[in-house]
Amino acid sequence: MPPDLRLLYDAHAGALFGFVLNLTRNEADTRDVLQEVFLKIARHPQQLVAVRDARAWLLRLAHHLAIDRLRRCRAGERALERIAVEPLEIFATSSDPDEAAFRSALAKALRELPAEQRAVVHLKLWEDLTFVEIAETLDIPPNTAASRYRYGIDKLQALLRPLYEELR
Amino acid sequence: MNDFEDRLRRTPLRMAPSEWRDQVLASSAHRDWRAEVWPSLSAWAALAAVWLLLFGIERLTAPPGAAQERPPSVAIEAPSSDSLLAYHAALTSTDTHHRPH
Repeated sequence: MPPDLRLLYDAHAGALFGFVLNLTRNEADTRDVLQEVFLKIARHPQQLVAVRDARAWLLRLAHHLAIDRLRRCRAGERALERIAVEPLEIFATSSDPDEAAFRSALAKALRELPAEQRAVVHLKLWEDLTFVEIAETLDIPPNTAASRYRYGIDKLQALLRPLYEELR
Repeated sequence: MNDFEDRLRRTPLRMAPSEWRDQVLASSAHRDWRAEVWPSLSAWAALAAVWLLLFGIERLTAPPGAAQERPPSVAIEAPSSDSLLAYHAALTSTDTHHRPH
């Protein structure tokens, strides 16, 4: 039975949006990737029927499409310039000024990470995946996923330590 | 997971803009029929087979030399202005004779 796209969207679009936005750092690219993901499902619904974990499968597909898009943009030398100049909020807004400052600093710090570390950190922290699941999603060995996560977290901690200590 | 990682994990991500839902789903549905037809070799092969079958049947059932025959053309003559005037005059006179006084 083909999947219901509306149900799929309601269940997984939030996670896909957060992940792809964190990777591409661009709303237009994120929307294009989301459209491509759902277009692929509409074209080949049978691919999703046999899938055990729809969320992991969708994240994997979104990751492939986002990386393809980033590579194309880099070839045109647009992506890096865009990342450098575009302020982009990837976190929910907060009415608390301290919390808002922390979220803004975290978004900025994440931007400093290489895309491959950012992907692992995102999947571990905000999708709560294990390193084995992350490895399957990103097509990398589990040890690589673990080391990328550790490097990413160390860098974030170094960048955010003053603010984090102040807000504790 | 240490305190720092836990602090990061508790930071909520932005939600996808609500208007994207309809856009994304509409674009998927809009292009779906083309995706079904265009890359499907079997669909095009089936269409070609049906066309060839109909062509073959038509050739087999047609009488010999039928392809060269042309149906006689039917010329439709436009009525001349004289006949139209006569027709109109007849109508007018009939109308005058039958009008109640």
